[in-house]
Amino acid sequence: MNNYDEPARLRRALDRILPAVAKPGRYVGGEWNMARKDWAAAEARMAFLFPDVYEVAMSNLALRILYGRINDDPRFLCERAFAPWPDMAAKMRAEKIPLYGLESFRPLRVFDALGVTLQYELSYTNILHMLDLAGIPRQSGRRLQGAWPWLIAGGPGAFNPEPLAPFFDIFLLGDGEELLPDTLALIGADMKRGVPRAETLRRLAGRRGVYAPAFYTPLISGSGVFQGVKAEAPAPVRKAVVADLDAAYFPVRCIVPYNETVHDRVALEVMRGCTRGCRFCQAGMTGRPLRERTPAVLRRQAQESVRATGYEEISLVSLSTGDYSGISGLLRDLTSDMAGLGVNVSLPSLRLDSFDVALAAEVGKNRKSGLTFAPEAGTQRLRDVINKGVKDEDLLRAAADAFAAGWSSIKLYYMIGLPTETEEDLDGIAAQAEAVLAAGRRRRGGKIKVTAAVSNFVPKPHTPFQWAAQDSRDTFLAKQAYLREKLRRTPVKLNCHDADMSAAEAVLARGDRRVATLLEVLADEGAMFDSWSEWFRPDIWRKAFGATGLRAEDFTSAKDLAAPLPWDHLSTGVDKEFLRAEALKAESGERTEDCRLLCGLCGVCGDPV
Amino acid sequence: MKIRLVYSKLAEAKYVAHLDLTRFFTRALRRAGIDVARSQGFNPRPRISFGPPLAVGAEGLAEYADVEINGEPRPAELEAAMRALRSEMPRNIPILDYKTLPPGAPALTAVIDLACYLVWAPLRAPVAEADLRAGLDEWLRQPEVVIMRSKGEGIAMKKNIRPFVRRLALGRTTDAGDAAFPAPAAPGFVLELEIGMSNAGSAKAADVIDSVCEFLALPWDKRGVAITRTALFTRGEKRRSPLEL
Repeated sequence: MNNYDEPARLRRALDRILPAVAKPGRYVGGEWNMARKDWAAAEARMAFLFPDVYEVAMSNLALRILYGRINDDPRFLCERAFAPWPDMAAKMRAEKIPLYGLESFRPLRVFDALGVTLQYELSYTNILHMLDLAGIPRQSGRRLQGAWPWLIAGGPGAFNPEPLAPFFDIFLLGDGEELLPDTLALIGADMKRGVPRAETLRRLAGRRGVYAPAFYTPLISGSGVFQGVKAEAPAPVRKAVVADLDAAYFPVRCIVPYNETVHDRVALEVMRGCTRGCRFCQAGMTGRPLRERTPAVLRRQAQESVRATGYEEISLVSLSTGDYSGISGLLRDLTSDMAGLGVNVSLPSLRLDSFDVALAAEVGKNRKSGLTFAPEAGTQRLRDVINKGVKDEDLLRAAADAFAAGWSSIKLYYMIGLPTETEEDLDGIAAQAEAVLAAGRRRRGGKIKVTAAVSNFVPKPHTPFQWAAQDSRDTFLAKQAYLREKLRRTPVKLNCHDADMSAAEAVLARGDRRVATLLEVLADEGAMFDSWSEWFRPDIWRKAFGATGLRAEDFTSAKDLAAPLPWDHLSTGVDKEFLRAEALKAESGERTEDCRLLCGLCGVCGDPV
Repeated sequence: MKIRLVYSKLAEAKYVAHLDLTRFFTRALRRAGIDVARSQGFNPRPRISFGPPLAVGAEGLAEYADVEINGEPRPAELEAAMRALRSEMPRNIPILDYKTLPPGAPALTAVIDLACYLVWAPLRAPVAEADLRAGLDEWLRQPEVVIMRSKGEGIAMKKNIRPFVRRLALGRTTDAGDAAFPAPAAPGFVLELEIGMSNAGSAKAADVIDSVCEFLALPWDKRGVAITRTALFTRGEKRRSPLEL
């Protein structure tokens, strides 16, 4: 691969294969606002790796923030590398072209650090594929000799990174805006002084937000029971928190792709964190505490973003944008600021009350695309169990309002397999969807569309449901068949998520370090793009379980509330005691108030920043 | 007011698909503060139209776009707006020139009649120049050249591309690469190709090259071929660019 160290050669080699791949624009960079930095002048050179295809990667807010943040610092340089679509990966292999940075066409091997974002578990096999394509040894232990790049990971998955622990040097927990540049600065300075890597690693371990898995050995019994962690560095590792979102870096000059991406618009982050406390939601727990940006800052960022990108749409993003304190005023102001520019303002996700529908009606556009609501469960009892504070009548009123305001299509998100679920709860999904349909027909007649999108519950670490069991594949399939039968004679459209994919997700989400072996076998067998149903290969997964002797049930079955968990040494700031109390309240169907109204004493606000 | 822009599509930008150009130009124009007119209706579309599509992977030296903007800026104001637009274009898609169009001017696709290409075709072994010349003449003497064009989903159609080839001539030949193309040192030759386009259709430059190289049984390196569209001309006796109309 050495002959591709010269960027011009690699670039020419690409010209020979790109005309024959789908969407070649994915592989050449050159977009508006792409950073062009001096390679020789940088103290630390990083590539941001997103283990999915270009159009997904370029929609990600973390990429925009960290790419901008690192490149705005004169000491550093940050390029991008994404998972090549299988057609391109095959051609790169055939031509022995190593995976490279889109900015300079240099092989990833020559960077000082590769930063991988862990956004969803089913992207993990793609990480190993990217390393293989880059010609970089997977195991961190095999990169000690020679000038291999540091492998760093962050994002939601870093809160249980054990399945990936052998592959990475460090994981960064929490907000990356300051943690990542601080880490790069230390690595860059040590490299310059010729400090041995092991020593740098030792200095990094113990810093706030830095988890260096080499210093934490999981203790697993012969029968496969996780018994805790032997730590040779400070434990627990606490996540980094950006306290003041107004002062935090925001990327107004984000890259504007030529290819149409999934979220092809300005993403204005109105707040971070969520106060609702849904018991299944990992982001809602790990993203605490709630921090809002002030409207004046948001209006300025919106203006600057449109000026620097030319985007025709601004989306107000957060976990629950309807909960932003000044949402009505902000929408009014932004809409008027943007009126003369031909720029729309949009809300990505909606909750369930009429207030939200009124907001959606205010932003007006995109009525064709339909509204989505997420009741998550079909009965009040189960919604209380999961702490989703929504009532049937709220939903029906909101749906009626939406139909009256001109929408003709509503999508309802549900989960099956939630703790304590019974047949009645499945009946509730069908009944609720039909009630929404009836409400629509009363208003609009026959030409309305209601879709029930049903996903499968996956227990996630650091949530009150982290101990819960996941239904088996057969149970999921039986429940899906039951719903299909219930809705067969109705015009409600039912979409069900793939049960095998949900089981795989659960294994990676709650896996311990043994799961790393499984990932290696999966990658060897050709598993990739597992989050894409057209690429997910259940046969490979079954084979990999067989080959490693691991059983999916080891990770999908219920865990004892008192037992140590593989991620206990990593702290989101939320007390385990709080999660345990929430788990018990869930069992008895007891609700917990939105913590803005009544503090639930989760512990995060007492955690010094 | 309608404005005709001339731009190039160079280097990495040759992989930008034709269908992505409207979105790209709309955003560049918004960055430049230029108010593009929109169609009426439920889903207003910016009023931007382009000349004949350039194949993905081919560079274009002088490509055309017609943009309708709101208002009637004076020449100095328009010049300032165009200056702003130039600075909002990526280096691989520079704006070369512009002019305002009279009301009712026909669309680019209605006036453009001829596309000129320079093609670099690398060879695995040198071929004598005289042989290349003789082979090209022979190719041109064929009354028809029928190729199979795939229409997707396993459907193939026969197509006679000969009528569309108005000129085919040998340019430089070399034993060690050509500085004008991003090619490694290799023997090869440059073809000058002119293809007509009309209501009756047109031919793809790549199809012509394939046909020529196969007809001559050349030891060509197909994946190393580089195609540049150098100019587009309008119908009529005299060669005039869409900007000179």
